[in-house]
Amino acid sequence: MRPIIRTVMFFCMTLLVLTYAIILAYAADVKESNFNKHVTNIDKLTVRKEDLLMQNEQLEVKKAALQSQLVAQTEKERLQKLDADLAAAKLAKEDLLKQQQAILAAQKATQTKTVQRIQNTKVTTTKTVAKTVKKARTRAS
Amino acid sequence: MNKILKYSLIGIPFLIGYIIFSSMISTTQWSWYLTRVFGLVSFIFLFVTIILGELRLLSFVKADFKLFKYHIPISIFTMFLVLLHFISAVFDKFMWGKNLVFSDYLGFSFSDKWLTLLSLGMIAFYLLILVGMTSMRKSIIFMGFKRWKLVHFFSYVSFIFAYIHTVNLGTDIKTSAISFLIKPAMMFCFWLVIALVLVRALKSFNVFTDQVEINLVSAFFIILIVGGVFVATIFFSAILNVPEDKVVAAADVSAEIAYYENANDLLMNQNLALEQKLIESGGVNNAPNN
Repeated sequence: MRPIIRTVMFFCMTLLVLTYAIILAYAADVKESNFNKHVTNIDKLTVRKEDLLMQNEQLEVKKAALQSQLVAQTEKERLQKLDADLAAAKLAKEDLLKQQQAILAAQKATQTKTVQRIQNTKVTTTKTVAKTVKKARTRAS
Repeated sequence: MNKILKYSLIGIPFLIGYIIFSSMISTTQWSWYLTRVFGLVSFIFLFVTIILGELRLLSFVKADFKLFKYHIPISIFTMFLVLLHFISAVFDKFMWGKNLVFSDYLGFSFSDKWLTLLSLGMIAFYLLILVGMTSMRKSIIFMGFKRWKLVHFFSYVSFIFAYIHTVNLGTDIKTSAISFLIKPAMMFCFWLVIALVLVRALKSFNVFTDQVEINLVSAFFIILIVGGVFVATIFFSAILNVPEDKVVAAADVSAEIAYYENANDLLMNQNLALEQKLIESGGVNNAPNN
């Protein structure tokens, strides 16, 4: 065997094996980084999901609070309306009472006048009867 | 002539028996198993046949390569195995042969990829028969050594076609539980032959002075080609590797994100409407802000 062939062949084979080793190491590195890229992507997505989940919970809480506030507000409005109705009813009642009192007073006044008139008529009648009786006695005597 | 008669007397009754047996089991899974087994084994024997011829040619003194005496018997046995593979495939009505007619097996159907690959296997078989028939002593004398040698090169073409056929159609190579072993083994066989053919081509220029040089250059070419193919395969599979489970997990999380985004948009709209309503009704918004 020629020494030059032996030297060249061993050199080439060593170089080849080293090249393959470098390529395989690079491939392993690429595979790992590719894997890590996917893992990082999943981590990012998971964080985003957690954020959204938290936001979702906060929005649910806010919705519940707003709904209860709205219910309370509606109840308040209903009660206010009831109070206003009650006050109006009271006023109407007072008016009615006043009117009733006025009517009663008017009726009483009318009644008094009528009694007075009847009494006056009675007195007049008594006087007239007495006069007539006196005249009749005078005439009779 | 005696050898041919001896092989015929053993081989022909066996083949007739095998044809009857194949027709009997044609609808069972056994016909499919036998097709696979004979296909795989015949490729291995074809490889051994070629490698024996190749190693003889790479011997500095050809007569020193004693194993060459097995080249012819193994090549005849290979043809016999390929024939059994062919018979099993033709009679298979269980898996591959269900939708095929006999003419599809004759190597002239190229209407789709599958049939083309099937036909490649059949062409490889025809070439083997051609090489085998021309390798008889009388044929060599009739043709002359140079013409015989040219025809004998068809064994490489046959091997290449057989490799394409095996790698693309072989169930055991593609999907079986041991495919992770068989596929690299097949690749190794194929690229080893290619590497040795290159060394043989180099040897034809009379550049080597002894067997050690031939061995050294063969080792170099084997490392260069076989190693190169394996390194390239590993490299590209690593570069193009997609971790399926991670992709599925990412898709699942993305779907959940889309769901929560929609749900949150809906809730925000509902809350805005509620706030509006509350303001209209004169209420004070004491709800917590996001």
